[in-house]
Amino acid sequence: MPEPSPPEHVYGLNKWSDLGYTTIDMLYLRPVRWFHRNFVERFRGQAYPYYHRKFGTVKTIDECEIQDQTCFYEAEMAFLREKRIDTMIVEILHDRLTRCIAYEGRIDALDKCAKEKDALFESHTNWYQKYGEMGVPHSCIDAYMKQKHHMIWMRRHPEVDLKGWAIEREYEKKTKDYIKSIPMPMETR
Amino acid sequence: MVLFSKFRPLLQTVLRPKEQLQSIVKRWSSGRNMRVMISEFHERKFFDMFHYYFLIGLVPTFCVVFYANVFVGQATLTEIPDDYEPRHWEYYKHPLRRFMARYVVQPFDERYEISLHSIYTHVMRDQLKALERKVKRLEHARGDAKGWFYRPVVDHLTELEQKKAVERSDGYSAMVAPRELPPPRSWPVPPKT
Repeated sequence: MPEPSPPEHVYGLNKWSDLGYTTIDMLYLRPVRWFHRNFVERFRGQAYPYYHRKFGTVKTIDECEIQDQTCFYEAEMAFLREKRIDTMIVEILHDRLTRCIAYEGRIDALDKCAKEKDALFESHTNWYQKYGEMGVPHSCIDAYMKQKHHMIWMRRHPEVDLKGWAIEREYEKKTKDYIKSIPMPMETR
Repeated sequence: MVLFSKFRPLLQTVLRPKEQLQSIVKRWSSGRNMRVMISEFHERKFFDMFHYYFLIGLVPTFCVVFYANVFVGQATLTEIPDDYEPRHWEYYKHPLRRFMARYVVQPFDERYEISLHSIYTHVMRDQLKALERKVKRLEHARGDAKGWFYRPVVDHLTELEQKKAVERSDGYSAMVAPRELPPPRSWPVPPKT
């Protein structure tokens, strides 16, 4: 079974959350843990392994010969795999930011979740630069051509900030200024 | 089965008929309607059959799933040893998923290799067909080689006819192309020398 998550700092939020968690704890978590400790761990058989699948390196689309359909297929599969992995990475970073905001609260998140926010922004822009705005469906050749045109454009316009950090920082500053401008008593903020 | 008597009011609520359709008003004063309800027998029979057919599948499934989760347990992630090549089902965690991968489902790598093979075969086939078409075209255009576009059909009648014609005539025939000339004829008129 997957490892159980430790329920630290659950009690103490407010009485309704405490009551809800206590109910769930008594009805579900405690019986399940009791059963697991007394029956499952005693009678479970031997532990056995499973492995993480390793994909060998194949030629990318730029290294393939002309009219080599098998090479194209392998490059395409590798490209799709990479795309799925990158999508999962962006999703995980998004999830981390959401959890950080839920933990800290909407206002404190502006100060304390800056790292998660920057990581998500960076990964999202990179994903978009690599896979985005190509049309559906698109192939590995379309992505390769996009990379080529992107590099040419960057070479011709070296001063342009393509990821948009300046706009992002400006937006953050504006948000913080707006929240500071709301007149509220000191102990609340 | 004992609790199912509690479901009776539920069934009556669900299946309550419209008053004007199902109520018998003959010889009754207004406002008194006969409630058409489900009989005890019908209700018990329905639930009996429902549970019988539902549990026929559920009980074995539940037992198998319980055994797999409690007594067998899920696998632990380990590094692949250097000299070992894992079998294709050893890449999955849950025991039932491993079972399906091992006995039921086509392996992931096999599917990939089959796709590659089919692509290769199709490409080779297309190339050979293109080559055949090209050869046919050239042979037909140039006409310098016999054999490719002459169909090797044995026409017995035509062969017989040709043989008979050869026997009838003096033996001069371009199709037959004999190795040497026939002997000179003596009847009816000897040739002029």
